[in-house]
Amino acid sequence: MSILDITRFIRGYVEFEASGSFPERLINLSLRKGLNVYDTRGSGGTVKGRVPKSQFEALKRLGSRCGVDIRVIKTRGVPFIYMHNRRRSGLVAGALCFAVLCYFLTSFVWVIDVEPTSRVSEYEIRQALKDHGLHSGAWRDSLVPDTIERETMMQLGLFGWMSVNITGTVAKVTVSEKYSPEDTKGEEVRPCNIKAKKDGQIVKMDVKSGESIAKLGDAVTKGDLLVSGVVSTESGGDFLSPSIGSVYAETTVEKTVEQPMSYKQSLPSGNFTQRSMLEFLGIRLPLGLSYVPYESYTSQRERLNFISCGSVMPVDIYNEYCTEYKENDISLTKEEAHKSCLAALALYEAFHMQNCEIKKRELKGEIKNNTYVLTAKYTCVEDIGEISYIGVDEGSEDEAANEQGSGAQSESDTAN
Amino acid sequence: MAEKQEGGFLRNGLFSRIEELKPSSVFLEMKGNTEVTIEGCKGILEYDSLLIRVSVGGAAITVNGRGLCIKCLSLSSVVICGVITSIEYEG
Repeated sequence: MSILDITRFIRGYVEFEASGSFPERLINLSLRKGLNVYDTRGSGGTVKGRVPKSQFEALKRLGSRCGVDIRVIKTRGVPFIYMHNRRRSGLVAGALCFAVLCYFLTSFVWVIDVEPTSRVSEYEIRQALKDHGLHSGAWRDSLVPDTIERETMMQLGLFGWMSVNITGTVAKVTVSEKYSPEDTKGEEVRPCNIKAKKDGQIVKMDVKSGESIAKLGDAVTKGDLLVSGVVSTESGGDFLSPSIGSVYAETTVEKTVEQPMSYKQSLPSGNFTQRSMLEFLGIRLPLGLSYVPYESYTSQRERLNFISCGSVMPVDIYNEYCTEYKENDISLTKEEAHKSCLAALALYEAFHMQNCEIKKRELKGEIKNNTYVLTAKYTCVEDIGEISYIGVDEGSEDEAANEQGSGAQSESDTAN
Repeated sequence: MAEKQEGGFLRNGLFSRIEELKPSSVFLEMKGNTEVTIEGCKGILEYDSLLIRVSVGGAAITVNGRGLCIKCLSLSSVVICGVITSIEYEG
């Protein structure tokens, strides 16, 4: 349906049939009188056509003047629909309510289209936007995109640029991550030393820049200088350089884990309840009469969105799954307690010693005060190097300088 | 006292005479055999799905065909569409 058809429908039109001795004359006369007769069809001595409702009376007068009978075939359009239904007050009221409701509902933001980034999830962005007033069901006139952008960026702190565009009932949020120097972190460019962060015996050194102070086989303690950033030249001078490299040492780590032989633990009893809620206009309405009869339970929520034409609709369904938990007395045997401690050690190794190469592990288990205590002694090889910057602004400068002896003294003088 | 004519001598006198002196001011344009535009028409003489006759001043143009209809009509031109089989000029 074209715009012209829509306009004609809104104005209303009459489809007529002209018959008589010379119906073509009616078309010629109506044209000269400026009547808008369109979609004409001639067949069998009659001419059919359409004319706007407002011009039909003039056409009828013209027909009677030129001896042509005009018969109405069909009437269509908004004015006729209105005339036909004007006595149905309920229908008119309903149409009016619909129009008012449409106008009212378009005053809110219903859909928030957020593009997630690699560092910040869509949920986090949505929560931050909600904190600053942009949520599904927010009053559109109360939203100031500039303020929302600025405050959300300040809250999350990870965006270099953010844009909130509100078009109709849809808010499109576009974000761009901030450039972080850590993204391009590679080799140090500032003068620095490498010091030991742990006690150990050096087994491997891989120094790319700087002057090696420690040697293979040396035993070092925490804080010892390993690689110096003050490099001596053949002519007797010194210059500052970034120390780049890895220093691997054999270290020992002791870790103790404990497991009570008897304790209380909450476990699922097997009972669970499901509740559903409908969220619309920021209001949650329960779907059903179910409630949670448990004293202790865990809740898992699932949110279902309705998507239409690629946009998330502002109607959500929340499903809440509640699982009852009851406290149980648990007693372990020594073997079970040992297994439990081993599991805890495995987690420790996975999360705290992922950069270490474990050479040896000695375990010692004993029961003390109804608690099983497992002590693990690790011998491992790891990079013990720690960067310590040299500079006038850094607090570590003086320390670094003092530890370097005479070479460091000349460096400190240079810096000052 | 004679009223002064609007538009002056050039518009009311000379140009109108030039128009009258033209042998024919009818212009026909066809798009394949489905549409014909006639400019300079003075009115519809006959209108049927098989035949449409258009007055062009002192002459008439007859368009024969099937399913003929007037797509657009104005004071000086008409657009006829349908399957056109022949066009006759009656001078």
